[in-house]
Order: sequence, then structure tokens, then C-alpha cells
Amino acid sequence: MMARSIFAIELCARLDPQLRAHVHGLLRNLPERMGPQAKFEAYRALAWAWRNNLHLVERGCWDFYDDHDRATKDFTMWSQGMTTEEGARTSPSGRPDPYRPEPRYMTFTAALLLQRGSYTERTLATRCAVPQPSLWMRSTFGAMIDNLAQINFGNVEADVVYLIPGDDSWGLTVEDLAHQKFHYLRTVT
Amino acid sequence: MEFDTFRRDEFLEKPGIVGARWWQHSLTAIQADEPTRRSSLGVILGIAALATVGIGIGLASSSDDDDEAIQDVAKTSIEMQKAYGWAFGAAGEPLVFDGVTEKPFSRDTLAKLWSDLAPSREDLAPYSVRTLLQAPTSAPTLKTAGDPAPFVPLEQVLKPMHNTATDAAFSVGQSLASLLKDVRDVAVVVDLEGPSSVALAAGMADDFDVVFLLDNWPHPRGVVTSHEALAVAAYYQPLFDVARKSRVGRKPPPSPVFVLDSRRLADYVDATDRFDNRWVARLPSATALKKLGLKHVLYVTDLTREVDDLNDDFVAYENESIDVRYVRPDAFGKRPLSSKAEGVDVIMCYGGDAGSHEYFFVHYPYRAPRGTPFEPTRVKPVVARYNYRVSPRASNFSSGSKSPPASKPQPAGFAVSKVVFGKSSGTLLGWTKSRTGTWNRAGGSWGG
Repeated sequence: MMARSIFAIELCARLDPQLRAHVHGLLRNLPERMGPQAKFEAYRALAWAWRNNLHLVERGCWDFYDDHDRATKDFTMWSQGMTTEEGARTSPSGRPDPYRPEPRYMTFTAALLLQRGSYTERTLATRCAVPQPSLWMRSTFGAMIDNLAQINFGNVEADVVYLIPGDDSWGLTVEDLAHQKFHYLRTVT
Repeated sequence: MEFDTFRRDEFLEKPGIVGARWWQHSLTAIQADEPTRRSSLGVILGIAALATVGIGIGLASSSDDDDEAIQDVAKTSIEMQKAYGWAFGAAGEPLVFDGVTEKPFSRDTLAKLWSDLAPSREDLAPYSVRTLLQAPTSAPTLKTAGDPAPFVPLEQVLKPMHNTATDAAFSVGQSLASLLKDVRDVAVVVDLEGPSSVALAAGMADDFDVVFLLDNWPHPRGVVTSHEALAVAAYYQPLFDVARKSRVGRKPPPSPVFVLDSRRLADYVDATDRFDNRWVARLPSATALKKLGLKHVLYVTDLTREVDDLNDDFVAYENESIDVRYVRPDAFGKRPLSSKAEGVDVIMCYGGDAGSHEYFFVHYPYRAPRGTPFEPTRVKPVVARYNYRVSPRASNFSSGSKSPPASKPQPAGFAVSKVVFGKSSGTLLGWTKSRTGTWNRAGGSWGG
């Protein structure tokens, strides 16, 4: 068994129905079986969608660990964020209304379990060596999104990607994001 | 051709969440038992033998021994494209454009894309690279024996494009030009992703002589998606043309902006089914820059350091007292409507405010700042990279020497494509990874 690393990113953005529908469509259309090239193209499309809407992102987090145990454990954790539907609402919050003061939010999460020592993984390691003061800057998130568009999936063992919500009327509220379970999301500066 | 190696094991589509997870269980096995070139060839040989028998395309193979049927040979990718067409081995596969077109577009103008985007200064012409800009109207001179797909000229499938990223880059270019237009000894090297590089250069084109260095052709499965840079060039073609004409004969002559695509050495392994259309940058030498009267190089990048193939060039520049400084495009920001300063009329400003725009010259002392600009709070060294200095670094594309050699290193197998020849006939059958070649397609169960 070869050692693994993990690269993960979560973006929390103002719910823009057009962007949400676009990302939803991209995810829905991903086939059950895919090759590395199809994966590359899919993530590239997702990255482009977010890169062009970076201004909507208000919170987020990203990780890169090249510690095998941490990588596999974290990948399970990120996966459970989807399988347990932990971050999703259990009831609608109402459609986002531009004339209503209370905004709605969406989150986009992607986590990749990478083959440690591969060129892609080492390139990511270099790109993720970001100085502490810049960790949560918008430009850094932009660079991390760019990373998603440049992965060689020949060196990816597993990936999980999900979007909250799946329907505009189920967007996250300010109160939802204030919950302890979202405290890992940093304010984008 | 690739195997669908990822299998989805989770899928959710509910009002609260939508997502999926995939595993590539074969990864460990593949890595542990990397197929040798010999075994890979064996697969191809088997398929080719089926093609010979089942489809009867006329391979001059009279032998039962598959090894005698075909052989694969590494050829320079660009040479294969020039001879057999830009979409060599993947004819009919679509190009994907990440942007929109909002203006009428005449495909006829693509024929003069190269001349419209050429530098106006005669002494800069030898350094411009026309490879990419000439691709739209190129036609193949040969045809592969095993690939039945008809050739479609690139100009027929190219679409002009722009998007929010290129629009922003264009504004940064305008901003940078507003600062540097009166400084005559600075050469700008733009090294962003292709579309943004082209757009940024377009923003500078009124005041700078644009020198394109894009040295590859697009391909439907290209490692470098250079069709996007070409599409942005087509979008800005009318602007480039007008700007170029306005620069001809200008005194003093405009300084150059060299245009690169930072993805030219993109991550790639031969195990994928992608076409290796990567390339290495060819900047003028230090001597040439000096002869052009240039004393400074400003490198526009969103990377943490220069792309490997520029390291030797930049070290050589520094050795010849041509200083190389770095600036990130996000050191420029959209200024608030309320922010005003004399002489500043651009949308994007250094530091994101009209009042900090001239502070650029505190960080980059090419001339004295005008007025009393304030220090931008958001432009720190780590953001702008203004205090980064190049140092020798060994890589696949740089020597690491303090006195770099004239020719840059380049790894074996870079920018080449494996093609298949009929051994007996000597005829080129196609790209080993082609999905359309009859010699390849016969093995229906082999590819994805």
C-alpha cells in the first residue's frame, strides 16, 4: 500500500441560484464510471465555475497533508460530511430573496486522496506551502481552486465532491453557519 | 484511449445536498506493477492485428508475427500536428471554450491573426513566435493511413472568448500600462494562464509592443489548453490590430511586453491519453535585451516563483545587470468609485485605490512616484512579490548554475507523441492514443 496525501477545499459562498444550478448540473452529470481524463475535465469545469465567482465566497477552508494516517482519516471525515448529510439542512429555509436582508449560503466541498510522492502530489505540496498570514486570503483560495483544475487523476485514489444545498430553497442561513459544526470555516479576507 | 478506472460508490441528490464519491481501486495495483513500454506495445500490437484482419485497411502485413506488423516511434508533437493536422489522432473531438462571445465574428479575419498581433517594432520581430497564431489557417500536408476522420481546419471550430478572469486581466494590463508607459527601459513578461496573459497584453497594447511567444498548437486532448489563449486572442484581434497600427513609427518606440502561457510545462504523465503539446519559453537573451535598450524586466505571474524554464534566463539577466522583479496581478484591485487621484483614470489600481496607484514606484523604483501616494495596506511583499529575487534553481528545465548555459535543459520525452508505423509498409497509421484510427478501434473492449 502506497502512502497517501490529502488535498481538500470547502468554499462557503452567497447562494447565487445561477451558480448553484450550474455546479449542481456539473455534479449530477458526472458518470458512475470515469477515467482520469474525464475526471480532470470535470474538476476543471468545477474550478472554472468557482474561479469566476470567487467574489461570492465569504468563508472557507482548505487543507493539504502529506501524512498518510492524517490523509486517510481526513478523507473519511470529508466523505462523512456528505454521507451523513451533516452540513445540510433538514428543512427548507426559503428561496434567497435579493430584497430580504437575510442572505442564504451554499457550500462546495472537494477532497482528494492522492498518491504521495507522485508529481501531482509534490506539485500540490509546493503550491500549498502558503505563508500563515496569507492562508485565508481570497487570492489564496483562488490559487487553491486553480489547483483543482490541474490535478493528474492518474495519481488520485479517491475523490469526494458535494454541494449544499441541492435546491435553492434549502440554502444555509446565517444561523446555520453560526453552528459549532461550521466553526472550521474561516472568514475569507 | 483510457480506462474508466474510477468507480462511484456514493451518490446523493437531495434538496439539502448533492454529491458523490469515487474510488480508483486499481491505483495501487497499477503503481505497483507499472506496465512496461514493452507490455503496452503488446496491447497495441494485438489490437492492430485485429484491425488488419477484421477491417482490412490494407496494412502490408503478411506476417503472423504481431511484432512485425507495427512499431511505435516518438515524434515531436508539433511536427506531427503540422504534417497531419492540428487535431492529429483526435480529429472530430471537440474543443471546449470556457467563456462567451458577445460580438459578431468573421472567421475570415483569422487568416490575418498573426499579422494583426505582430509587434510593430522591426527590431522586436525576430523574437516573436508565430506558432500558435498561425495554427487557425494551417492545413496538413499528409494524412495518416489508419485515421479515417476528415480534417477540419482550426479556424472552423475556434470561437472568440472572454470571461470574468480575462476581463479582469485586461483591466490589470491597462493599469500596468498606465504606470509604465513613460518608462522606456522596462520589458514586461506576462506569464499567467494563456487566456489571462493574452487579455493582460491586450490591456497594454496601446502603449506597449506586444510580442507573442506562444509556441505550440492546440489539440482536443492537449496537455496545454492553448485553444483558449487563441480564442482570447481572436476576441481581442480588432483591438490588437488598431493598437498595433497606432504604435508603428512611434517615437520613442514602445517597450515590449512578452506573452507566455504559464501552463506550458503542465503536469503530465504519459500514462494518460493526453496529447503532449507542451513547450519551452524562448525569451530574448540578456545581450539582446541590452541592445534593445532595456535595463529591467518586470515578470507578471500568479505563481510563487518563475516557471522552471525561465530560471536560467532570469539568472542570466541578473548576471548582466538587468534586474528582474516580480508582480502578481492581484496586487492590482478595483478602485472604489470614491477614490480619486490626479492622472489616475484606470479601473484597477495598484493597491486597489487611486491614491495608492503611484506607490507602485516605491516598490518598483523605475522612476520617482508622482504626488504623495499612500502605502497600500493590501499589497504586502507576499502578495505583490516585489521583494522576490531570482536565484539559480536546478530543475528539469533549468541548470541551477550561476552561469547558465546558452541552451536550456529539457527532459527526454518532452513534447513528443508516440505514433504507430506499419513496419512493412513504412506508413504512419496514427497516434498510439487515437480513438478514431481503424488500426486502433478494432479492439473495442480495450478503451473507454
